[in-house]
Amino acid sequence: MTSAPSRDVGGETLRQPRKYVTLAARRRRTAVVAWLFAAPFVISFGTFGVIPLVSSFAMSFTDLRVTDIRTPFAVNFVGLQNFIDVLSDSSFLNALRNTLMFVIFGVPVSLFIALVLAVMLNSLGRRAATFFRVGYYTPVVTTIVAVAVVWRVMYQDDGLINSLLASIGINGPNWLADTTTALPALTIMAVWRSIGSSMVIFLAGLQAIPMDVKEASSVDGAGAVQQFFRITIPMMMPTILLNAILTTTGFMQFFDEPFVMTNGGPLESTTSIALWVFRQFQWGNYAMGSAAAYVLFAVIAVFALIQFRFLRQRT
Amino acid sequence: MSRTITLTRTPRWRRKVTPATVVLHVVLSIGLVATLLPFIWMLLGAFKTNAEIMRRPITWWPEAPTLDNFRAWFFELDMSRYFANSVFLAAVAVITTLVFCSMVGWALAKLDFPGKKALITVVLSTMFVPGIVTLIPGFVLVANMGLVGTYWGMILPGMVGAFGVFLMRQFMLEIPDSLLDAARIDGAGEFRIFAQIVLPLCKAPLATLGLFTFLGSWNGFLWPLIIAQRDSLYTLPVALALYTSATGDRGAEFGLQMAGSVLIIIPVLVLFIAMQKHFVQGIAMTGVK
Amino acid sequence: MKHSALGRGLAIAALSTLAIGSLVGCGRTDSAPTSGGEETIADTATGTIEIWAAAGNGDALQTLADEFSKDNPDVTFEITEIPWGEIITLNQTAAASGTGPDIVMTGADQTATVIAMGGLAPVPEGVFTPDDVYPAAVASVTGENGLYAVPWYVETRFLFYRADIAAELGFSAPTTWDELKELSAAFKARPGGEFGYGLPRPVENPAQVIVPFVSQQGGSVYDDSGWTIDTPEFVTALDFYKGFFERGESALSTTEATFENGGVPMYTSGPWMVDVYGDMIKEGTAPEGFTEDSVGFVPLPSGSANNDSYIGGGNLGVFAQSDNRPSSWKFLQWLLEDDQQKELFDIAGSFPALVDSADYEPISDSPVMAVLKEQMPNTVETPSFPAWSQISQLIGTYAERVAYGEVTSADAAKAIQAEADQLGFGW
Repeated sequence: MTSAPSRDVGGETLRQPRKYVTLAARRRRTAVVAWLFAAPFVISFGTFGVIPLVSSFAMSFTDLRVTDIRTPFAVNFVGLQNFIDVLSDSSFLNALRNTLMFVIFGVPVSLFIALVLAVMLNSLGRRAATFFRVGYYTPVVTTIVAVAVVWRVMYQDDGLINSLLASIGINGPNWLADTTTALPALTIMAVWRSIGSSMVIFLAGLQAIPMDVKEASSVDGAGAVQQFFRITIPMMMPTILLNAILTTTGFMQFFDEPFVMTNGGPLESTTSIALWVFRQFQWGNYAMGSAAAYVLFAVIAVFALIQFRFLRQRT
Repeated sequence: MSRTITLTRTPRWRRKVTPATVVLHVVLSIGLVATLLPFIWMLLGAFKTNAEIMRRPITWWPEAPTLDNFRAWFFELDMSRYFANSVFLAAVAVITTLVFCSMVGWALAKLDFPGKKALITVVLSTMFVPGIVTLIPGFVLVANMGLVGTYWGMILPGMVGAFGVFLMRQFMLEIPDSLLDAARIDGAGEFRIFAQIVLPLCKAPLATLGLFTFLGSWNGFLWPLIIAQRDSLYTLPVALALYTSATGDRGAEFGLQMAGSVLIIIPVLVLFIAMQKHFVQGIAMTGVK
Repeated sequence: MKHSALGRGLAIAALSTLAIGSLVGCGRTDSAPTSGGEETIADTATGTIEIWAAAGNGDALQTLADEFSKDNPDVTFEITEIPWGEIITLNQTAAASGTGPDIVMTGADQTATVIAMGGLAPVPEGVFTPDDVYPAAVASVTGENGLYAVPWYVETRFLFYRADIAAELGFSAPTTWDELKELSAAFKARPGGEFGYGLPRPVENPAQVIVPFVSQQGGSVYDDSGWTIDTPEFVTALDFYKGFFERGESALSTTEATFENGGVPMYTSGPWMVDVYGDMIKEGTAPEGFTEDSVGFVPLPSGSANNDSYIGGGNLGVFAQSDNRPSSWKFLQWLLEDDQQKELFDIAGSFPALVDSADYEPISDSPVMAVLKEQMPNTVETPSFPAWSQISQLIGTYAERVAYGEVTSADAAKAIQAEADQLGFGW
């Protein structure tokens, strides 16, 4: 029942018509507004992001090879054959295993260090914070080729890392030449390169935690560590989720380090899926490469879903 | 009772120099040196000759320091051209990404509309595919639009990325609805709310996204290379690969590579430092008790 | 609005059609037929010739282009340099979209892949005489149906060794496999010696030395009908390769040992290293005791049949969908003339592909070029087939396992043969 509110103005009662908006109309309006907001992105993304994706997906159901590149539509439709071939290829499965190990060990380490760093930097004065922030971010912007030289030297049998280990009595292995240590060595490199980005995002997220909440807990007698676990982390959940998915996605597509440092060796122990896909493309096996890429896509999607479920609940 | 809380940085007068603080600084510093070691070597290498870089055992401080590498970049190679191209493309990428992604991120965070779920899923999924797969179809698409060898061809595909949407959305989710509802009751239109309330609160994520977008565009190699197809459109990373990789009749030019890498990194770091202020801006919250 | 599953499915189907439709090419022009198409050489070149030059060759091409323009005033050149490693990618995108340059430069081991893409037009008669060019170079531009590019310049690798250390030990340059093994052992056994003969590590594309080893034993990895990897010559080559790692004369991992510090006193490389060492000595950054006399270089030692080395170099082809092919062929024909080949050496130091052009004083006068000239007739090409890059990776993978002792050379040869048979030549 709508009634027009009345106002007294100078003795006269005016009727003010209230805007009568139905729920459906409001919904429609919101939808229109929302799509207007989304439009610029959707158009450019739809064209340059989605279309190539869809066609590369279609490609993976054919037998497209280098010799077909001029006549991509004269290829044969092979259904799921490429996917079957990929999943039964022992070198691919090896790459899958390597990639998963890399992700499962590397991502949590990277996120944890980044979070701790962010929290530490957040409590510093402005200048010190800037200094450290830029410093820790630098690995992110370095080109892999330029730093590969140093890393290779550091990882040598008689290199820096083994020298440091020797000084505390540990006999370090020949990192990049030993099949059991090559992947961990590259994992450390990748973590080194990725901490900066995650740290910056965590820092931005930390700013959202109201000081009075922290103050209140200090007054209540909570120590720094307790504060960290009881207040900081729960309030940071959306940011943690963001970083978890971003870092996982990035690590799953791990390519630079194995490509530049070890070329997938020794004995294919550092071959990642992305490197495997790259090699297929180099050899002109486009359809196979595409199929493998979409297998990777499925794996990443599964991980992302798990993270969404797991971390969302804690918000 | 409502309060506005802004900065969450501990104000100076409250900070005591405790042993804890000192330890913190020391630990951070050690970590920093370890982190920067490869970068320092690269930086020093920019001042070395090729031969010295190839020396084993490696040297740290240059024995025969030289500015030749930098000289080569500035005077022999068309640095200003490549630099201008890189700056232009990065600037366009940053502006369009910030605008587009904040807008769609807002819609996905706070507005309800049909197709929302589908949109999020599609956008997120595209992040999960390695770039190499879409290289050829993407190029064919751009070629069919007649954009190969043009600035538009280099701009358009790089304009937006899924990452930006995701980032903006996660941050905007944290903006309290009470703030927005209050504005709506006051009669503000959606766009006004977006421009005058939401965006100012998002300085931190916007700065972060801006930095990442800049970095992505600035370091972009493969796309600019295949679309440019002419020297006048080349960007810095393309030039770096061009002049430093080994060819059949000469070895790799390490000195040039180090110097080039340093030159490419500096603007990013400068930008980062300059934007620090925006990283510490808090989100104003109104706590309604 | 409810979205039914059907509706969603239809949307996806529509989107896919749109996607594929856009790729069919609203703007794809009808390309001129390439196979069997009449390729002609223009009398005088006209129009614009766009060249994709591999990095480092732009200046030389520009100089030559300027000279060419004197007799062909109606032509303009646009030369763009591209990194060597990206040549295949760029040709892929060009071939797929029909948008590309007029002349394309490829490395000797990349040409086969670009030919397979249909990216190059067949070479018309008269552009050059194959008999006048090194056979291995001609092989590198041969596709399934003839010649598809023109060898422009060539290069190869030979043996570098520490002449000073060898002399101290009482050795001269090795000329056979046995002498090579002897010297390598002596290098390693000497006081302070680390390695003997530094072969490329198994992860560094060892096919680049194994294929020449096979050739040096008189064998080949392919013949007219297919791959011939499971052969005694291949097994011998593989054994020879792994032997150096087994005896510790070659390093399996990266090390601080180098040629100049004596750690790796012998290895195979190309002519540019002479300049690198020269610079090092001039700048004073060379280790003590390393002088000009330390650097010895000779043609590769022979196996039982010959001392073939891998041929490299640059080839020039005409993009299949170029709109200025006759003029491009004219330019290429001109580049392969004796004068221009000699001039190329003068301005860029690149060794001419034309055999007779090597009879040139500056070449014979330069010690390193003289060695190159001696080695050049004894070269073997990278197998010029699209499937080769995958097979050479296979060889590398198995060579690694052989070097680590996981599998015997004989078994490796059989396994590689089996996989190679499945791949075929790849046309």
